[in-house]
Amino acid sequence: MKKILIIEDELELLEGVSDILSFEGFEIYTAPNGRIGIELAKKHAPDIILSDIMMPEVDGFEVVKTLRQYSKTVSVPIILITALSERVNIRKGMELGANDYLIKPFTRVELLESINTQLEENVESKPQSIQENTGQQDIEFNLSYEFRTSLNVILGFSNMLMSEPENYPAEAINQMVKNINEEGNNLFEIIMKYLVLIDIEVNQTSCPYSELLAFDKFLIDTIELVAKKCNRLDDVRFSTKPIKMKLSTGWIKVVVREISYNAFKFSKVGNKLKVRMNQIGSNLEIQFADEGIGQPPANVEQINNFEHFGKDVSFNQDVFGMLICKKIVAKYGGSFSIENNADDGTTISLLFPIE
Amino acid sequence: MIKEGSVKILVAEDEEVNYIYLQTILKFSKSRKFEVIHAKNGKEAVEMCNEVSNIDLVLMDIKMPVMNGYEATIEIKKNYPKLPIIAQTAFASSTDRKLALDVGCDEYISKPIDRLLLLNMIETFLD
Repeated sequence: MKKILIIEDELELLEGVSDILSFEGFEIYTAPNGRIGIELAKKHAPDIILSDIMMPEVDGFEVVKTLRQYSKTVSVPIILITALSERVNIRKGMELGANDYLIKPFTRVELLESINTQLEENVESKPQSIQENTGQQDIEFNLSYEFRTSLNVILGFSNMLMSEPENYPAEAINQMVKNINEEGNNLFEIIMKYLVLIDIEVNQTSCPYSELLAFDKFLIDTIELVAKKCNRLDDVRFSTKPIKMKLSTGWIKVVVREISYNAFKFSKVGNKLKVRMNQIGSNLEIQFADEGIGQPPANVEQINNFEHFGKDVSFNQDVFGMLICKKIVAKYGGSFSIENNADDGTTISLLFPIE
Repeated sequence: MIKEGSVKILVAEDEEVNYIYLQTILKFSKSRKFEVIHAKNGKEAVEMCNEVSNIDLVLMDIKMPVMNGYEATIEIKKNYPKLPIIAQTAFASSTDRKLALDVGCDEYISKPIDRLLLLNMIETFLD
């Protein structure tokens, strides 16, 4: 007999769902809150867990997060129950490792369908590595997102040009070719970024160093290239001084590009990006201060506390690029921190040891 | 044959070049005359729906700064429950699709976007 655990603080709903499922022949465990739910899940290893999201003390997110850490419950399908008004929370639940969700009020048929789907999918017994969030899922998710966004333009425009070139005036064709080329370059940069990430996370390569080069010039060139692409050349202010460093241009370029691209993306035309270089003792500090919309405090905290891509945490997509940057900087023995400015925007500070 | 009258489409899209792609598709459509307006995030999309009259359809990107497409869809549907909204996103999983439909989007199309599929989809909401 399949075992189902129901975690729900609304007792009427708990009873209703419990009645339906026991009538269908399932063995039912019920928990009136998240804390008891987690205990029962560890004790009975149910085949499926249904959990409400909004509960006092231990909520549904916490239930998912906790149960995904124990080998006994790491792969149990979890179906979240949520109110109509909380729908925007669902993504968070799914990112933490829930398998499906039901929106209240749901019908008996919807409930049974969701449960049967989960039971069938679980029989296919996916390899353990896919079920555990090893950080691999975060990487796959973001990689897929960024590739698809770039390819949207590349494939879209090239298909149009191939299928009916006679439909477009020369001016439109020039624009399309220009966009295809730009997105191609963009995609190349994205690929470089993920290759560096793979080098760090999978191959565990040590960081490369270049020949001694004029680092300030490299910094300005890289940022201006991004600014030009975003039509924001007028918005960049540099306060740098000549310094020669051996930092690899390839890996550091990924960092500089990602930070400046984000600064432009999350600010308006006219908002400035100020890039400063200071020598502090035997360290070089590079600061990127933008006047954009700033980062939610939760993102700032997540970036500053980040050490590894790993099992226990799932990352907000908006911060993922920053986490890759932090990983790269750390490889050079440097540090990466971000804070919201007192007025507008954020400041990102990189600190590299000067050799 | 181009049908009579123009159709006003609001494109909510933060990436300039992706907006240009959609605008080009619509501008050179052989079956309809489209008028395209552009919102750069969810908040602008909600405001434009309130301020611009006679919008016929919204193409809604999901991941945008300031306000995302899920939230914007919920807001827009509060005032304009019948305004068709097509989610267009690079999120590719079936969960994302389900979520887009659950927040009130009428259809969902994944990036990379197929031009003919998009035009077909838009057509089903017109007339």
